[in-house]
Amino acid sequence: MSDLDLLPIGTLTLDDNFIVISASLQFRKIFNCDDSAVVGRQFQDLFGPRERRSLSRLDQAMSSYSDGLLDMRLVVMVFGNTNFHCRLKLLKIEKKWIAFISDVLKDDDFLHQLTVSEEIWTSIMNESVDAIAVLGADRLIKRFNNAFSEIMKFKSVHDVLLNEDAILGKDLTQFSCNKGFLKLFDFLSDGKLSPINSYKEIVEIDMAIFNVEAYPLQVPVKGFSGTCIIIRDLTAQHQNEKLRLKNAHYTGMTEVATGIIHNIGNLINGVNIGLETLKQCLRLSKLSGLQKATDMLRANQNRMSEFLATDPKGKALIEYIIQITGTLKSESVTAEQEVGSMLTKLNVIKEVIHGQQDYAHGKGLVEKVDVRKVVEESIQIQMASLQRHEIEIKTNFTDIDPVSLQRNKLVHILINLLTNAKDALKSPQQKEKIVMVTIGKTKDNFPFVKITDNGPGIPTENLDKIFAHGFTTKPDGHGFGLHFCANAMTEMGGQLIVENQSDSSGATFTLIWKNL
Amino acid sequence: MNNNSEFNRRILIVDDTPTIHDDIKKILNTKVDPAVLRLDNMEQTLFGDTQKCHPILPIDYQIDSAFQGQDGLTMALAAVKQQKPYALIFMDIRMPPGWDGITTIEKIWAEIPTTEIVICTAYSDIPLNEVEVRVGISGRLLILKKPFDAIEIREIASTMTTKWNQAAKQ
Repeated sequence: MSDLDLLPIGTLTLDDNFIVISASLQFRKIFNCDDSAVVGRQFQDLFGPRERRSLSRLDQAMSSYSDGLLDMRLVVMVFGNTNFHCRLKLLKIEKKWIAFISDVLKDDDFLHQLTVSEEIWTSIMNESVDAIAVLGADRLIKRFNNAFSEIMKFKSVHDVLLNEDAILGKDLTQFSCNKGFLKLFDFLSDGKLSPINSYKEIVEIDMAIFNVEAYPLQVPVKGFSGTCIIIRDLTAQHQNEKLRLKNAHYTGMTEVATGIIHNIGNLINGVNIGLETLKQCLRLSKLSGLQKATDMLRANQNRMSEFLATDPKGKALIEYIIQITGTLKSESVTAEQEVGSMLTKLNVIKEVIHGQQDYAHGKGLVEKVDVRKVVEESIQIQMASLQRHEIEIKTNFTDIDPVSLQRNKLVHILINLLTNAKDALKSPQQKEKIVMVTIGKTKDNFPFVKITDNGPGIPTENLDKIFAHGFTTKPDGHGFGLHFCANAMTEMGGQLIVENQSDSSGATFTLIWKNL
Repeated sequence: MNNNSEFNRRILIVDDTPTIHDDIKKILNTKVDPAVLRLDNMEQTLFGDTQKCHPILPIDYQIDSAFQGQDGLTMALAAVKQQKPYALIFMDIRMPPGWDGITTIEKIWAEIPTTEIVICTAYSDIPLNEVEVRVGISGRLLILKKPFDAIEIREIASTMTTKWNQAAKQ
């Protein structure tokens, strides 16, 4: 008893010339024979004279065999008068072959299995929402399902109610009158279809959208070659997507509106309170007291020296005028402060509104953009300002393919980031001021632009909120810039990432496009 | 739990916008310059004026600032520990990236249910229903929309701190 006897499937051991050396226990059981029936026989002879197709495939497979398991899904072996349909696997070990024979079915069983399998496939085909058809040579329809029949309008173009038989064997391109698929028919007629050149297109017909695919079918068992067509109705999916996009757009608008209300609301609050303070200051102003004091002086004009020298009111009046000067002065300082702070707030409001206007203009065309060119332009725009602050721009540009994006938005983002980098280097303690701009590709081939400054970096506690709406560390900032940039990058299929240099010398903002 | 011997005028502002802190502090600081008071007295003797001038009774508030919800809770808890609880908290609703105002209120009331709170928001879409659903109708909450007027802040601060002190006496 050899190890092979322990296997649940039948095995034969063959020598170099495919002569059977031994048959396993299981093999003898399945085929109901003893060793003498097979040992010493040519392996190919077991297939019987009528199974030429199996034989030629076997010969071909064996002659081109290099290593590993050779798997033939359906071969027919003949014992006595019975055909056995089986799965054959061959393995070469040193100078011997092991043949594994499994899934053995006698003729009758085989037919039954085939029928069941056919039924399963037919029911799957017909249940399918996708339209599926198999064409043989010359585009003749071999199989098709209900959805396919509907989409091709087989029934509507012919007055008679067609049954399946009337359609099978017809040339699809002649028989369907749905003009929407003419392109597919042309493609099929031209015989361009090949394993490396399959057909795939989105077709719009009468407001409906279809994904149409055709590819060659290769069924090795029967040597059948044909074409499989699958058509999927994408209309509902497209509508959903449109709706989702619209919703996303509304959400975005709401967010912008809420942002404005928040930013401007807070600022107007300050202006409002400032105005009230100013009003209070004017209402309670001691100016009216000064008025009364001068009235009193005028009334005593003729006895001025006497009034001032002897009248108790005169003495008090001098003291009052001395006092009031200081108070009036401080009133005016308060008023000036309030007006100044209101002006500042109004300026920020103006900037927020400008930011919104930029946003409104930013809704532009998506196009293939030469990133390097846009980066160079953006640097040029900022150059004067950078030079004024004695900032040196260093560049390291690698050639990358054009990226699909909105030009305006990219310019906006780059200028925002360059301005931030400039602000990071403003401190007088900063000796060497360098902004490094890099263009390149990651290991995974994702294009990126990096803007690095050698400033103090971003405090760790701010790193995760730097893109939050309304977050700013600038005294005159409105916290809208980076928030906009991050959103705009996401819209363009990219991402904006911030990190500090590992040696804590400055921050790096990275624009990266991962969804091209 | 409170030190009842004094009248509590401690206020905490929780808002991520620094200017709002300035605004509220400015409004509640109603102290009159002593120089002006001296002038008022002189006017009395000189011109016999009895008019005006400062209708506002100066109240001495102690006002602290927190710029995030988490900090607000920490400060409120620390204040209770030092037996100097806040009578009133002005609470913003949206304070990215941390807790929103409603969450902060929930957390503060879970620990210090006696705190009076005024929600102070610039958003028009403030989920008022959500406020009721989450913190209930407690009798200790007011809602004030920005932009606000000075008098609103003054009256709310005075009324709510007085309310806190009355409740603490009982």
